[in-house]
Amino acid sequence: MKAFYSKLTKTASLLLAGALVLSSCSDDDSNVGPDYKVPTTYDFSPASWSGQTSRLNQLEELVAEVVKGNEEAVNADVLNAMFANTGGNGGGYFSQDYSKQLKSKTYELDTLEFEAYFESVEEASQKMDTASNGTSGYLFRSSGDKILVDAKGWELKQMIEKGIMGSTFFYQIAGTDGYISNQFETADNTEIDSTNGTDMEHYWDEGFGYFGVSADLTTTRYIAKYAKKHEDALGTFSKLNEAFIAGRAAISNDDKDGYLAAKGTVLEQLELVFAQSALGYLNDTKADIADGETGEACHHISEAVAFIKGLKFSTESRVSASDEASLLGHIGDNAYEVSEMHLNMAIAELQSLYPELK
Amino acid sequence: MKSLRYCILALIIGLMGSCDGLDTTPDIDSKELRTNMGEEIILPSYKNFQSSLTPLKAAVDSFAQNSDSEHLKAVKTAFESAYITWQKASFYQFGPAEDALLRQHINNFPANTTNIDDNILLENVDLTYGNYTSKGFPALDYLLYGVATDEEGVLFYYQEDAEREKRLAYLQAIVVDMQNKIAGVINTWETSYLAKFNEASGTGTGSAIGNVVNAFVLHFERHLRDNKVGIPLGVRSFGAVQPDKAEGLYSGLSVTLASANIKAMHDFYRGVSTDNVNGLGFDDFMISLDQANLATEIDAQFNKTTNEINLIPSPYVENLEQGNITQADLAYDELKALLLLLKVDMTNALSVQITYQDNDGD
Repeated sequence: MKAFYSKLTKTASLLLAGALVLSSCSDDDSNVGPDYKVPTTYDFSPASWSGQTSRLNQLEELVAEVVKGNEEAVNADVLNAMFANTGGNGGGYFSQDYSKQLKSKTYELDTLEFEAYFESVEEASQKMDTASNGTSGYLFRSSGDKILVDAKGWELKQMIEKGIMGSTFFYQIAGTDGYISNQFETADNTEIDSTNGTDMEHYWDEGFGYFGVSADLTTTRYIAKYAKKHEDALGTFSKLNEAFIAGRAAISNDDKDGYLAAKGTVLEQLELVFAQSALGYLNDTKADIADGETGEACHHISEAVAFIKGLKFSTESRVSASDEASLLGHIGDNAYEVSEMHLNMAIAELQSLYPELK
Repeated sequence: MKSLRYCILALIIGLMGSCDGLDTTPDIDSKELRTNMGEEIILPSYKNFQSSLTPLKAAVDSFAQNSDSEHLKAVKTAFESAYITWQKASFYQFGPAEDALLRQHINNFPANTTNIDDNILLENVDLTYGNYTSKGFPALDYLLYGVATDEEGVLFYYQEDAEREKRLAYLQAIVVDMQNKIAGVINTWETSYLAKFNEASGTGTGSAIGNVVNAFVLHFERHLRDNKVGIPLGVRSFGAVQPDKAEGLYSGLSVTLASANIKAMHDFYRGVSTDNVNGLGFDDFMISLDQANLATEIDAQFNKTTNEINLIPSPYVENLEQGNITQADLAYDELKALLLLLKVDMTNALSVQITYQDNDGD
């Protein structure tokens, strides 16, 4: 043992003394920010994003139904009714009435894919049998939990849940007609609605609503959950929270430079959340394969593929159509047949597109 | 109380950060600690392992020329020495080693002997990818000790004309692949990773300390406690022993390897370098965080556990087969106790989050 302890304690006490002195200097450089008040949480009024909260809730209910397929037969009609929110209550399968729906807000070319996954859930869940390459059914994770996979080993829950995170939530924030990428900028910012604020404020709030963090920033789901997961590695959670808040405050104060800067940060960081998630799961898959953990491998590679497919949904995306095809091409169309060599190729390609990933 | 202290310190550090000029970075995780781990222990351990493969390669090449008893002995000696050296380099599976799946390529036991036999017959000697259960030490263990019931039989296996050349070629291919794998990992450490490692401050996810602790605890739990000791003992099979899952199944080296592994982990915990210099380790880090009692407790538990492992009668496999499990049970209990200290108390003290377990429910 070296004299590490004493040194550190000394540093600490020096710091303590220093901090008292320093508190006086903090005034000198605090005037870098805007000259209006920016709250520390997403605390704005009037503001509303109930339609987004509703869709996040609907996805939770939909996924809960998919997961039932691990233990019992699930009907694709039920999943379709929930996806399209038939009759305002998911065909009677939602726990409550909703006025919004997921399907109409989903990237149109992907809706057929999700509906095909719903059919696969029905098909696989009816058999109540273990899966293998060529045969759908369930596999076991190392924890002993079941997962439902199609005949090529894709885990249906991940393809649906993480898929909708990209094709609906991320697309609605950042896509061609996305709230943050496009809509808010050209909206009116003068007339204040008593519930929603101005149109510009409201569009920004709707974009924020799809992110998945509560207004007080304490609870997370969907994209925000992954942003938080990568906070240590990339700082995505704090950067996104700060940018969403700064952008909203800038809009309310007609600070165009402010909200454009915030828009740039939001789009960039959301894409990084998807990229870092994809990379992490590709690496997990490599180890799973080497360890002979088939259930884990199918789980992780399904997550990776869903996140890779999400990368393109930002108007600022660094991933071109051919990049996506190449990434997915390395992985192949069969989860059971993914190899270490091909994963290495996908990882290298992802890292060259996103050098900042950890 | 301790987390409060930590918070206050963090707060002070936070305040400091906002002021330019006085940016003496607080030394909470100490670059010195990372340097000792990276430059004095991890990288030298990899290099020692790499060096141990040189005589093994030479011995296997000689044995291919002269497949007699004397040369087989030389191969076995070099194999044992390399296998023990690996135990000191096996628990740093993060960064380059994780990317290269080093452990899985070097020591993924038990070996799949059917697959090895097939590879030999089909002359599948490109082991670059896949083949995780048909290569590395477990495959050598089988090919040097397990292809026949006695040494005479093993010699015959390599002297018999029909397939002997294929068998010898496969032995050589295994060692070459091991050399390639460790050379790749060392190269990445030297050309880029060591610098990153030295700079990756803090204890959060992705920090050097965060990575090291996760790899260390994961190895301790899954590979030392479970794979080397517990699973053969039957902890995953309702008490039914599974000797054929043991490391060193054919050579009888199981206990030697487990002993070498826990000693190396203890040394790393204390910051003991490959040159046997006691530098900064997890213990010093905990002491600096006012956790001297915990550091001492873990140290003592390492000693206790090592003693119990050393006392397991060897060969482990034969003793398990004969139902002689009392000592292994004692060792396993101590391993469990030590795991709790490492995985719960040490990680709390160091503010490291265990990330290798999927705890997000998806």
